[in-house]
Amino acid sequence: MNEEEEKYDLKIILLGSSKVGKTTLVNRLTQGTFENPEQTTGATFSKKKYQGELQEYTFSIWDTAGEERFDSLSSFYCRNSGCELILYDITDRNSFTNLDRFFDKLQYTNEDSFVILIGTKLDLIEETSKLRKVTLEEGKKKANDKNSYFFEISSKTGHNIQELWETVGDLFEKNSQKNEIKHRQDNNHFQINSFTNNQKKKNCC
Amino acid sequence: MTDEKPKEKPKEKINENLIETDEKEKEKEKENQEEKDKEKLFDYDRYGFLLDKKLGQKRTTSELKNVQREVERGTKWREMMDQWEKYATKKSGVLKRRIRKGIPDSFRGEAWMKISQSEILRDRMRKKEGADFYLKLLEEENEEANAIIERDLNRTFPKHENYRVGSEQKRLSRILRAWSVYNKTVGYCQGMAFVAALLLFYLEEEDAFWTFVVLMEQYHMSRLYSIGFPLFQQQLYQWDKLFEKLDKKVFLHFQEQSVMSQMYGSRWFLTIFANTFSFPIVLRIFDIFLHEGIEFVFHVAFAIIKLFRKQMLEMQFEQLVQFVQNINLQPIDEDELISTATSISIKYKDLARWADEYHLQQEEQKEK
Repeated sequence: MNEEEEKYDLKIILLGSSKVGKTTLVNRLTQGTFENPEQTTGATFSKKKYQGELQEYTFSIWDTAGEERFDSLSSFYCRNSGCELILYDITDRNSFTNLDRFFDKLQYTNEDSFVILIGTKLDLIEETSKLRKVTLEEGKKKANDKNSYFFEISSKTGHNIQELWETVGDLFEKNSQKNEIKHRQDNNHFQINSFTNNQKKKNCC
Repeated sequence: MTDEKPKEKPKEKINENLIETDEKEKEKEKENQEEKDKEKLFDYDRYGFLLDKKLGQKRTTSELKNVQREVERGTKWREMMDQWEKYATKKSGVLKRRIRKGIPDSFRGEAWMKISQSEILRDRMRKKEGADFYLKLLEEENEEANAIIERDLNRTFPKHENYRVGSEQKRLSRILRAWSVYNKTVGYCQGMAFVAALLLFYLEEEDAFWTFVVLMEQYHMSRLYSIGFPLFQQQLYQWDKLFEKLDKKVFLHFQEQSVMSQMYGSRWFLTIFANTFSFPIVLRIFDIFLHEGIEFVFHVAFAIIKLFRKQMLEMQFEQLVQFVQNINLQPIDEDELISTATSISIKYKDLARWADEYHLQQEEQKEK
């Protein structure tokens, strides 16, 4: 029914406060570049291929505006999303304490979607850790509390970017296998818990 | 940069003593070449925007054409400026026609203030609150807004020399801070910075501030940005209706491809196209918007559909969504866009009816 759903194997949405580096991460993923982008008003579409074990997939990526006021608009983009990347800036405490409003968005996404919490701008603390305002442990704990996966990254140096992308692809493949089993079982009147509830957390940094 | 002539090479240098100087020459030439290469990498258009060589952007002949055209129009505009009252009332048809042709750069700031009548507001507020009212606004702090404003400063026209290196960022920051104190209810919202920055290109700081206030409060732009984006949501509704009415075939194609107005509308409507088009086009749209009102955005939006309908009909979701989100990548002739936009007939009665419809729906939803 929906052209967008049919064409893309997975819809990814980026959420997080203003200036935590959402657009920068998308640019790093899709173009391999690092530059200072314009502020995002509304949302921007892009896509990226993922080479799975057996086949190649295409994922659509929606980058959203982070300012709180835009929340009322971003719910629209969350529809049919199968993967949410929720970002905060490890040098900006507010962007971390603010996170719940993005987790609240998950009510609009697919039931079986998976969430990856991402601490950004790791490069900024390389020289001096004084700038760090959110510890690694805090990030991990938040991810744990929210049933999500976790990374700290730098879009500038590319640190953990590849790992992040592979995790997205991995989880997607596992998820779709589960769904297939679930689908078959559903047809035979079996019930199993959804993937997100019984999947073990994987914490990386 | 362009009028630099190639250095003449001395032809009869056969004397061995001159070899050294020749080498120096060569070195100099090499340096010159390096300079030129640098210039080739970084070039600016006449408004100071970094041209992207990868996209094949360069200074165009139409730019030169415009400069000449503006000189010719200067006399007419001087006369209009001096007899503004007459042109704003009795001869408003002439004024409208000339604004649609584009306000000459040298008159733009002055004209924007006259058209928006921000001078009147400025003088009234100075009289009422004291001549230093603007400065007083700056003394007050709205911390919440300040934090967001700071984050947006180097992300507003980042390709422009002044905003890239930051010299204009302070003035931009002050206008936005003053606004967030002046109208605490609406406060600051992303998107506003583009509008304020646009004004700063042509106006002194305080004048830009008062013009910004007029835009927000009298041109209803604050309803574009206030919580829940009431005017913007209404515009999306109106746009869908208008699009369907004016070109059903393309409208249905967008629907079939699931390209919804929410996906591109914020780029188009929230900044009056300021982060949609190249700068010369942004200015032309802004000129007319100031004079004819916010409904002009629908003219521009449909002009885009009209100019590219053939290509659009062949596009699938992905191409189409990227196309409408990045109109700035299309080579568009500003005169063609503006003349297409102004020639589109839109019944304002329709727009009003759709606005009513939208609000009725909202009310009904609330009741539920």
